[in-house]
Amino acid sequence: MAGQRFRELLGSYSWESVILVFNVVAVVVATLLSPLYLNAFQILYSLQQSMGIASILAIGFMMIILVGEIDLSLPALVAVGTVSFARLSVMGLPFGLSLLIVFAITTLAGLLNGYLIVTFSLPSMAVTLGMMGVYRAVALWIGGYEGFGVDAFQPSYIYVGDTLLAGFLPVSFLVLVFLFALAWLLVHKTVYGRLLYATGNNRKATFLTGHSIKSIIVSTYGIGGLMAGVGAMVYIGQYQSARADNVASILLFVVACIALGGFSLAGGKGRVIGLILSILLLGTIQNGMGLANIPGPVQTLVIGLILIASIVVPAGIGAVGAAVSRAKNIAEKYSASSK
Amino acid sequence: MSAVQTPKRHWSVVILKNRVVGVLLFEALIMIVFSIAARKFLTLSNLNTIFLNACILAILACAEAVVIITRNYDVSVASMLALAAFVGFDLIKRFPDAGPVLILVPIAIGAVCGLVNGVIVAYGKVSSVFVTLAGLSIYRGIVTIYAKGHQIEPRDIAEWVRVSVTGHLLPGISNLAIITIVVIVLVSIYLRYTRIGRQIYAIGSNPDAATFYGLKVSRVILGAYVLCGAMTGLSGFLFAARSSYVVPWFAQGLEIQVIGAVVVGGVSVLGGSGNVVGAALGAIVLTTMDNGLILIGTHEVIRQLLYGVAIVGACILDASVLKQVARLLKSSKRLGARR
Repeated sequence: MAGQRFRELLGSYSWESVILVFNVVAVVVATLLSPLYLNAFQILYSLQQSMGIASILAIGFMMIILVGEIDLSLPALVAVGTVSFARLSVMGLPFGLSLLIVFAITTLAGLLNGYLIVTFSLPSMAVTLGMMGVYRAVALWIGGYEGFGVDAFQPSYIYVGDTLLAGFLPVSFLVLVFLFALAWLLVHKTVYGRLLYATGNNRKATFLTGHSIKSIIVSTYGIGGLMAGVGAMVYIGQYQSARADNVASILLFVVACIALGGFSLAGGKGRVIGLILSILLLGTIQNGMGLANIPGPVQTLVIGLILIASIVVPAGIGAVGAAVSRAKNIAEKYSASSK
Repeated sequence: MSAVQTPKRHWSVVILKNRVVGVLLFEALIMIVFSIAARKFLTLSNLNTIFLNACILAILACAEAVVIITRNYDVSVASMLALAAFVGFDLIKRFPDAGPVLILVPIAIGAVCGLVNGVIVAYGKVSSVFVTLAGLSIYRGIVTIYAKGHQIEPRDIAEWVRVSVTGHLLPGISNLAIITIVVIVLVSIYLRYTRIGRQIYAIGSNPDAATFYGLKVSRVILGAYVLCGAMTGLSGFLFAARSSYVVPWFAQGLEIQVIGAVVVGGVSVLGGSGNVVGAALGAIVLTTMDNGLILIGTHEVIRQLLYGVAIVGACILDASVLKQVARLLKSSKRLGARR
């Protein structure tokens, strides 16, 4: 009995198990590559440095992907957030107040994306590409060409992104854990979460059961915008600068996390645990490559190849599976007719 | 049959049938506005500059349009362009005796990149956004690694390259303009009058119907990507010859302008409608706006903003037109309404 249950569990979590195995392999390889790798502090710190902002964005991106849409403007929204924080800090506002203001700005901007998409039933890819340009321009307008440096920020602004609790635990890591716990609860344990899957799987059916597809989709964009605001809060602490072109190349990481985590652009597929595992895997690979002195362009190339692999491999498995079942069908028919 | 008669004078049908005219009217409108606002705008030399600046964007928009008409995207065009231009010009520098036959190198590199994109999108049946986003980083990574910190400088560029692009084969008309017009006319004829060209439209407007009709959908989509890649490679050659230097981050971020030009030119991002002449005109519209706004002395923020707003606005117009047409088709009791 127990064995069968275990097998069922493994079957339904097959993608996540594969990623988990890859995680173990990556850790072993990284340990062999560099003696510096296997060190809890090093792992925690570099994971947070390299993947922190990308994983916060990935949480928002996940919600949007689950309903079968996409938002390419999230990195631009992070830039809007960072320069707004800097501007408000220069103006002398207390951190709490500007936190509210920036979160409101980015959330409203996210909601605007969603509103445009559902009201005019537009393709989200093209619209958010356009909005990306708009938000970059807004960030440039707020921050100017120069942007802001270290001296722009009051100490309270950089607390979250810059502080290590007890000398080893980044505050932003706690924020990340909290967000993932919240996302897990929201996606897997609430009606709203189930509705996200329902919308992604079959919009018509969800609509016919009496739910407003439009408000569900708009709400996911709102969450995406909010996450961009949180990402901005971590960013200013981590880098202590703010410019309109911040996080310009993060989209690849976010999309790689999402694709590797088992999500599909068509929506309705993937789990939070898959996202966490894929972030850990990408973080480990990047950390290992960094310690092994592999240059930046090669690292980007590798991440791109991983993205391709994470798309192609499931598609290939699906194609092989379909071919096998077709062959089985034919064989059954043949054996039935020969009888 | 009289039953098939649709009310032809409805505004949406008029716009749908005359998109290119609409883009031309818009171009005329902004030209009138700019010539009133800036005295230098309506001079022969400035108009010539606008046209030459638009040429490369026009070819790229034409390339992207072919893919978008099949209801896919290619966001890797800027990276493919950089790779093709850099490797092509590096070979031109290394083999000065080979001569003009080397123009085939960038085109071939573009075609190979397009082939890779196309194979994965068409046969893996996965989202083109994910695949080409990975392509964007992979091709950029390859060119950065290939360059090893070097760049192509004006003295590395052979004389025949300069002459073939900036020279004047016909008196008064730059070769760049001639090449652009020839390419766009050829592709336009190909899409309009050949069997494969019509199949590209058929697949974009209804992939399921195209499959049931017996079209080789995957093969045609692959062909569209290869064509797009080859044209991107060609425009890489032209762009590099015109700007006479190539760096690894050449043309970074150009894909937004390219997709913007396609959308403004009246090609529907939902696939299946619009044509490449429109996309080329869209490139001219964007370049005119850019030029005029610089002459007026507008801040760069406004210009960036306008690209985004142009994309979103064109999407909204397109979606509302398609919605109206769908409603009309339904009300005239014809099946097969557009989505």
